[in-house]
Amino acid sequence: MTLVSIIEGHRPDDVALIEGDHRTTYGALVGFADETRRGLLAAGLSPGDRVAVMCSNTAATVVSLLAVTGAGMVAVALDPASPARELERQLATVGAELLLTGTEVVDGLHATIASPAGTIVPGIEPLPVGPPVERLPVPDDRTAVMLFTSGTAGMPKPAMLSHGSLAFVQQALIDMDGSGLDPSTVNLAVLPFSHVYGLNVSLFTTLRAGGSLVLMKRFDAAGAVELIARHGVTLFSGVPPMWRALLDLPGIAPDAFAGVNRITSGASALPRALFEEFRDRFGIELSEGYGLTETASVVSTHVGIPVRPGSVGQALPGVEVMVVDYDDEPAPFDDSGAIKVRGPNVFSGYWGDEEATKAVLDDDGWLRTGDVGLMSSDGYLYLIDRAKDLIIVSGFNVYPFEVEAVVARHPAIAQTVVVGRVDAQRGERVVAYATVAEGATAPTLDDVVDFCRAELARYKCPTELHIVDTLPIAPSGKPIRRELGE
Amino acid sequence: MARETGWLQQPLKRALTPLATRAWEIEVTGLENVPSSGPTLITPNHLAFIDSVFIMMTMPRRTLAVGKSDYMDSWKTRHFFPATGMIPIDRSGGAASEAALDAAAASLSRGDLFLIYPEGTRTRDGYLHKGRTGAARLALRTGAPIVPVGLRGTDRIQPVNTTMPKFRERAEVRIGRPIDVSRYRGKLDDRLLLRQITDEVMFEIAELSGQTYVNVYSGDPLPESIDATPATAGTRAPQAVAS
Repeated sequence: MTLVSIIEGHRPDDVALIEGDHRTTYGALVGFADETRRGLLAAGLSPGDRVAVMCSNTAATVVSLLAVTGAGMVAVALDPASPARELERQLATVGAELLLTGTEVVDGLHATIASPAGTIVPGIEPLPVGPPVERLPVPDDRTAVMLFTSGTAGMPKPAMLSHGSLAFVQQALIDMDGSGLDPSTVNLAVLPFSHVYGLNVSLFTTLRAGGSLVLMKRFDAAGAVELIARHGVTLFSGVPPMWRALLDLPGIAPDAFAGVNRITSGASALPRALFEEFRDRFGIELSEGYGLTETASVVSTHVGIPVRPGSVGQALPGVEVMVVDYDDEPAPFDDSGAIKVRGPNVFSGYWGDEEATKAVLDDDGWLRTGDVGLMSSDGYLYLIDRAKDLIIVSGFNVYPFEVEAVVARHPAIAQTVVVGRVDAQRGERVVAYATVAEGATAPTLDDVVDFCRAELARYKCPTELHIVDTLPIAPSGKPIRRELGE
Repeated sequence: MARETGWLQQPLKRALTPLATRAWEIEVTGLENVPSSGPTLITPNHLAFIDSVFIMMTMPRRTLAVGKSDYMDSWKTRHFFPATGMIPIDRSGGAASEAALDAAAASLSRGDLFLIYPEGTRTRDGYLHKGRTGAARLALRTGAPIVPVGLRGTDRIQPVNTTMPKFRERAEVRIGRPIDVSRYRGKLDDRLLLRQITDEVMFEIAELSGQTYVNVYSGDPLPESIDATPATAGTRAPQAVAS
């Protein structure tokens, strides 16, 4: 189905988007999307053209995304928080014909892209008004959206997601027992629409269910609590740093989320201690899921099943998940291995990069996620770490996440990122980078090792400790290990 | 009336030890690491069938173990092995091996010292292989500390596919410090827990035995990245197997 049809068939007076005090009904949204679609065609663009959309969480972004895909063009989602130089590289990579900025103009970007390829920047140069044109059907396998992968694994690459793969995930989520996705849904949309989690789980799925989205451009804990109360938010998707910020917010009532049916956590691993603290404080169990840009967001979810802390839930119905050994054979239950995924949610490849596509997608349709995990005998998936981050000490696997979880609990340490370094004797060794907790004295390596030994085998304890001022951690909470150099 | 499992062990030990010390040069280190009483798991690497005899002779206490159920097939072994301390375990997996683990747990709960080879079977290629999680399970269930043991040289005494031991060879039994699993108690529902404990045990065994560890179960094919020729203890660089 065409992506834009997700906003059709709902009651026209129902509210689709809430932005500040402004509400956009489904009826109005259909009209805006159609008007913009005609404008794109009048500007001389054709189906298949790449149209970049500067994705801030605004109504203008939503309209742009729906209009571009409705016209059979490819919406390339850009993150306005990216540096101008990175945005330029991304525009060049996909050969964008046009950039729709809505109200967001990145400093320094306009000057560099204004002239080449006849770029039009609405707001600076509005789209022309086009005559009514019938919307043509778009095949399911046509690329609807391209998203640059998060960039914790090498240079960000544009992943192609078809109308069909996005729609599959939306429908699968809506159809799950207890999904809570219907026209009464009020979703706090704070995850960036330039990220697949914000785009397909938060935005598109809620629209398809006919619910309302409360648009929040930038997360702040107090603002989120206020919006949740004011609009009666029922659903909320976020990332672990948000849960931390909410817990640290002074004066927040224990029943602040009493009206929220479900809070889902994704994008980076949810530490067990954080899950428990949140549950004990607010009486709600964060529901952790798992997915990638390359799977149109969702691989596994806790929707409709009891939450099992530490797990990322069960495979989305219709999606196959396999944990394999080094020899590509299924690993025994509860044994760690590489996670592979196959199903209608899997992407079609990286734009213009067949080699990178082949490296992750095999002929049978299996996607190598690059993640390591394990599967319980009753189908719960547990995520352990990124395969490429795995540290191998004397042949033994050491997952940085496991070490980080312990090191970070040292009272003198605020945050830590653990990496492997080549070691002549043991193959690799464990090296920790850490920031010092406020008011604490920097700990020594011995302090940290003594602390770790209570919970970790000795080969997992760091053999080097570097105290630093800042650590490369993405807003989602994911450490960007490659930035720590070699 | 059935006699207690392991009843024959002490008489055998008294008879065999003087012979063994004459036949082989056996060096034992770390004996002080074996608790003198209370439930204890002894977890060595496994190089040769004769390993169990060496462990039994070395330990200061009666040693019980689980063994291949096919050893129990003939009437001789059906009576002889239990008398020496062996509880049968069906290695085809499933309910039978659970039952044997239950039996092991019961024996540990009575305060016995129990021998388990975490690799499950003898190494055929000299590598130390990925550990099975039985010892970790038992330790968590019973609170027994896990004592890692590195055996060296028993494969020269009894090479693979031979039955008669060679004399005048040297062997070492290196006993490491006990691993107390009580520190893992707070993480009982952690899926990785059994693997974490098992890997910790295997690491200590590798340090004691000098073997190169491979993250592959014994009996499974080795990945192509690993040299399949028999390894000499302590002479090889670490082999990376990500899984």
